[in-house]
Amino acid sequence: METSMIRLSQNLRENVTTLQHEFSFPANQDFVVRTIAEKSVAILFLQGLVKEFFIEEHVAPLFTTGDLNSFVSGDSVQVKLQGWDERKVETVQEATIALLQGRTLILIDGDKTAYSINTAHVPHRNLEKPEIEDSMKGPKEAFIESSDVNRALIRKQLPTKELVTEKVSVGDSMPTSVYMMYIRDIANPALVENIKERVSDIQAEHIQNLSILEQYIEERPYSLVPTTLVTERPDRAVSFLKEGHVVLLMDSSSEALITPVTFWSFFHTAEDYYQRWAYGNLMRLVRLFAFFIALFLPATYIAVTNYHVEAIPTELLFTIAATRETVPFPAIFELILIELTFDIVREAGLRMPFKGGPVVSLLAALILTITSVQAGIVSPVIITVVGLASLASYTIPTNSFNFTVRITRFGFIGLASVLGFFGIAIGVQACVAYLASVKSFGVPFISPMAPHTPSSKDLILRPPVWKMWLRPMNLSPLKKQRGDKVEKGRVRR
Amino acid sequence: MNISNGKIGTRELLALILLTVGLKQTDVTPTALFPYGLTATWMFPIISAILLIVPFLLLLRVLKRHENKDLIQLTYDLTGNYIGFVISLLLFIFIFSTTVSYSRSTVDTLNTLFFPKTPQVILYVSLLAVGYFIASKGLEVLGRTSWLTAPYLFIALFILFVLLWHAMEWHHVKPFGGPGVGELLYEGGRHSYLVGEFILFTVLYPCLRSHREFRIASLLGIFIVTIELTIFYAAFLMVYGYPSVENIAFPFQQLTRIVDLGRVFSNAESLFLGFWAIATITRTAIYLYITVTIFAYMLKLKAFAPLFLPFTGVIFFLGLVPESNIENVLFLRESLLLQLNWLFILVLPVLLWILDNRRKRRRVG
Repeated sequence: METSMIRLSQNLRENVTTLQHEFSFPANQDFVVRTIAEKSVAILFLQGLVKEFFIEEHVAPLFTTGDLNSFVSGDSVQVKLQGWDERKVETVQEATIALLQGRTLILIDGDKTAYSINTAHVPHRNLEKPEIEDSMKGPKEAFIESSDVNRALIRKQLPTKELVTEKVSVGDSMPTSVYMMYIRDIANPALVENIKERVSDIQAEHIQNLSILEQYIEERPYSLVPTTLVTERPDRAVSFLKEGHVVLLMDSSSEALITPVTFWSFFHTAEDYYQRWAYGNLMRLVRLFAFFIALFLPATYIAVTNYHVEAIPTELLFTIAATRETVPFPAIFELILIELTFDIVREAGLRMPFKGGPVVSLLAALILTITSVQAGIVSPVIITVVGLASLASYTIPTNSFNFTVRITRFGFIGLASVLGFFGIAIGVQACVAYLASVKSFGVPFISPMAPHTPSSKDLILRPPVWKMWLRPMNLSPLKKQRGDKVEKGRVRR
Repeated sequence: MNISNGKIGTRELLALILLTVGLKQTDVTPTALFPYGLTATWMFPIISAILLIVPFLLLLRVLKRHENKDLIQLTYDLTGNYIGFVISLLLFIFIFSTTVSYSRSTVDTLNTLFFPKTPQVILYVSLLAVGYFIASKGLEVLGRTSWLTAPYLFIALFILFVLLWHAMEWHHVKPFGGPGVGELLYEGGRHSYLVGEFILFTVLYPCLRSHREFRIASLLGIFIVTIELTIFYAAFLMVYGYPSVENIAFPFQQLTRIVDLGRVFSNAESLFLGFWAIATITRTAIYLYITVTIFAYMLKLKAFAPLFLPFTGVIFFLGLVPESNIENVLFLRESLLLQLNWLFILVLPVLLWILDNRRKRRRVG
C-alpha cells in the first residue's frame, strides 16, 4: 500500500514510467500505452477489459484534431470527455484501480491531474435458461456472470425507487465488489446493517465469487445446515427482496445469495407460486413426501428388518427372506455398499465430460444393479430401497440442502442399525432441536413456525396468492402488509 | 428486530405441558393408580384437576403481584431463608425423583417390549444423551422442539384412539363409583401428583413473555390434559376390563399392539413406538431441564448450563438402582412421591397466597 500516497507528477514521461512499473511492463503485454498528439497526451488501458474500437474511434480523435494548446488547461479536457463518466485521478493508486476496473486513463503533459473515462467492456455469456431451477411455468431468465446484468434483471421485475443497491468492497489485497440489494422501506435496517458488517468484516486476500463469499459470512462453517440460499432465478431473488431479505450479488457469479433464510425456503421453488393453488401444493406435498423417503427410507428398512420384523406384512417378509437367502452379508453392509455405489455413480455422472456422460452413468447404474443381484452380492429389495431414496433426494430443490439430506441419511442408517425405531427417534429429535437452535443472521431457522410469528402461513403448504397479504414477521419487516388485507374477493370493488 | 430473546410463549409452554403431564398415560402412572381407583380410575385426572385449579389460580395471583419472580424465589421471599430452603429442597427432591423414575420407566418399557436383546445401559445412555443435548441448548430450543413435536404426538394419539374403538367394551367402566365416592375423592387428592407439574412449571414464570401467555397456556394445558388422560384411562379400562388392567405392566404399549390395520398391516405398534419415542425423548429433556432449574434456583446460582452434564450422570446412576420396573413403580410411587407431594401441590400455593396477603396487609396497615 506504499503507492497510495504517491501523487502524479507534471511530467508525462515520469507518470507513464511509474504506471508501467506498477503493471510490470514490458513483461505484462496487456498494459497498453498510446502516445498521441506529438507525445503530449498518453492513453492507458488494459487490453481485454476495454472497448478498444471505442477508444480508437472516439477518444483518440479528440486529441489529434484541433488546436494543441487548448489541452494545456485541464478543464477543457474534462469538458471534452463529458458524458463518458469522466473522473479526475490524482494518485498512482487511483490510477491503478481505474485501470483494473476497465477504465481508460488519459494523461496530459504538464498536468498533475489525469482523467479516467468508463470504457469497460467485460466479456460475459448471454442470458440463458436456468439450469438447476428450471420451471415449466413462469419466467425463464437466469442470472449470468455479470453483476451489472444481474442487477438489471432484478430491477426489471421490481420497478420501485426504494430498491437500494449498496456496494461493499471485500478482499484486502485484491478487492472485489459485493452488491447488496434490499428494499429500503421493507427490509429491517438492523438486519441490513448486520449483513453489511458481516461482509465488510471478512478478512481475506481475495473473494473470488459468491460461493466463496457464502462460506465466509455463514455462522456455522462445520454445520450440515446451510444458512444462506443460492438462487439462479431473478424472479426468486425478487420475491425474497419483497419479503425483506437482502440479496448479495457479485461479478463472475451466475447466482444471487439470499440472506437470511429459513428452513422453509429450501423446500420452496418459484414454480410453486406460478402454478395454481392446488397444483402448486401438490408439487409441495410430493416433495415433502420425497424428502421423508430420502431421509428415512433406508434407515426404516434397517430398523424394520433388524428390530421390528412384526411390522412387515407376512407375505413381504417371506419375499425379503427368500431374496436375502443367497446374500452372505448383513443387511447394513449391503445397504451401505449400495448407497456408496449410487453416490459413486452420481459423482461420476457429474465429473464425466458431457458427451456420453449421462449415457455411461445410466448404463453403469443399470448393469451394476442387475449384475450385483445376479452375483448374489446384494438383494433386490435393497436396490429398490436405496434407488428410491436416491431418486427422492433429487426432488429437494436446493443443491446445498440435497447434501444435508444425503449426509444425514447415513446418520439415520447408523442409528437405526443400533437402536431401531428408537434410534431413528433419537436422530429426529436431535435434528429438530438442532434446527430449532440454528439462526440465520439472527433469524431463527424454523421461524415463523417455532418460534411462532405472524406470517402468511406459506410453510409446508401455501395459501392462494391473494391471501398472502402478510409479510413473514420473523424478519421484522418495516412494512408488515403487502397492501391492504383482501377480505373476501380477490378484486377491489 | 429481536424475536428470539430467550423467552417462550403460549405455544411453547403448552407444548411443554402436553409432553410432560399429557404423557402420563404412556408411562407407569396408570399402573400405580389402578389399585386405588379401581373402575373409577378414569376420574382421577378430573378430581386432581378440580382440586388443583383453586390453588393454582391463587398461585398465579401471587406470581402476578411479584413480577419476574419464579416459584422458588417467591418461596424464599415469603417464607424466609430457612423454611424457603426446606420447601425448595423438597420440591427439588420431588422433581428429581420424578425425572429418575420416568426416565427409568421409559428405558424399562423399551427394553421389555421392543429391544429385549439390547443392554439396558445402552438404552439409558442413548436416552439421556439426547435428553442432555436438547436440554442443554436452553429453554427456547426446548420449547420450540416441544412445539414442533407435540401436535404430531396428539394426532397419533387420536388415531390410536379411533383405531381402538372396536376393542372397547363400554360396560367395563361400571360401577362408576369405583371404590366409593369418599374413597375416590380422598385417593384423588392424595394422587394429585398427577398434575403436580403445573405447580412446578411456575419456576418458568419469568421466562414467559407475559402473565397472560402463562395463564392461557397453563389453563388450556389443564383442560386438554384432563380430557386426554381421562379418555385414555377410561380406554384402558374399557379395553382390558377390571381387574386384569391392574396386572398389565405397560398398558399404553399393549394398546398399540391391539390396533389392527387390516390383514396386511396387522402390527402397527412400531409405528406408534416411533411417535411415543420422539415424545418421550423430549419429555426426558424437559424433566432434566426443570430439575436443573429448580436446583440452580434453590442454591441461587446464576448460570446453570454447566450443571446439565453432572445431573445427567447422577440421574443415570440413580436410574440404574431399581432392579426391575416393578420396584421402580412401587418404591417411588408408594413411598416418596405419593405420601408427601399432595402437600406441595395443594397446600404450598395456598400457603404462599396467605403469606403474601398478610405481608401486603401489614404494609398497607
